[in-house]
Amino acid sequence: MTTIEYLQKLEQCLQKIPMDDRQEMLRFYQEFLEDGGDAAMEELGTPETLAQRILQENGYTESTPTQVRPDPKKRSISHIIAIWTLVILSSPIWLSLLVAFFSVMLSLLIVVAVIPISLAAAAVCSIGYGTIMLFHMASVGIFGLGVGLFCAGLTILLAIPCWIAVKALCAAFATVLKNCWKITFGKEY
Amino acid sequence: MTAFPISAGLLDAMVLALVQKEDTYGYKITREIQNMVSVSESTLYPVLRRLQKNQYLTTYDKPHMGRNRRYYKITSEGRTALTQYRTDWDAYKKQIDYFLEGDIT
Repeated sequence: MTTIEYLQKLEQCLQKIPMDDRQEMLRFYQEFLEDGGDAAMEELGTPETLAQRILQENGYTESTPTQVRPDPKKRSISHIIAIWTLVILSSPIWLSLLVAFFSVMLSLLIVVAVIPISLAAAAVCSIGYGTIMLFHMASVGIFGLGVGLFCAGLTILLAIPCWIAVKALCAAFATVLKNCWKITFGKEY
Repeated sequence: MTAFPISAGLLDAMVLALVQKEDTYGYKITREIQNMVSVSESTLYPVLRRLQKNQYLTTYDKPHMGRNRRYYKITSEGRTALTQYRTDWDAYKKQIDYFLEGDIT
């Protein structure tokens, strides 16, 4: 068995250990194998037995989780019932707050998005109007063209920041909702 | 199996003393400890991890034959802890020796 195969097998057997700890641990055994060669591998035993020893010495043994598991499960069922009761009873408050939050976020989004759109519309209209008026009343036409160019410039200037702001608002909105969920239910959705 | 298994505290102290002599790497630490006392590799990794968590040891990577080897280095907190371990061990040894080495009389 090569070192890489050994480490892959070992990693498979250590899935119970959190990712960061596992990577650190594997790094240690990788170096041990690289420094010690075949003799080191023989000493460590098969990946399965080594994993067994590691799990035992770090309190991840087969027996411990099954002994611990029933308790939190029972608790979590009553926990869920309590939470749903609270959710239903307090709905007049949180529902209206949620609606208010939604509307504020939506109006903010609209305001930000409308800035470049209205500027672009103003630019198109003013340039069109200016071009037509140029042949009837030169001064008004030039004024119209000027306003149009000004608006077009502003559109170009503001389009990117507004787009970024819209994206940031959406992201913030999503984070807030996600955190609300996490706080209420104590886990990822 | 010896009648006096090596405790976690003793292993911490032994590894600290080894690393204090010079910066060294996992394989060498394991070998040097195993030369004197019978402990498994899976016992020594948690020791190194714990010493790092307590900030008694830090690590740095040094290239060696085309790969990176992780070296362990003692910190000033580690030195303080080691001094304390030595004091404690000395006291402990005297207590036991009092009975076992015939000082009772």
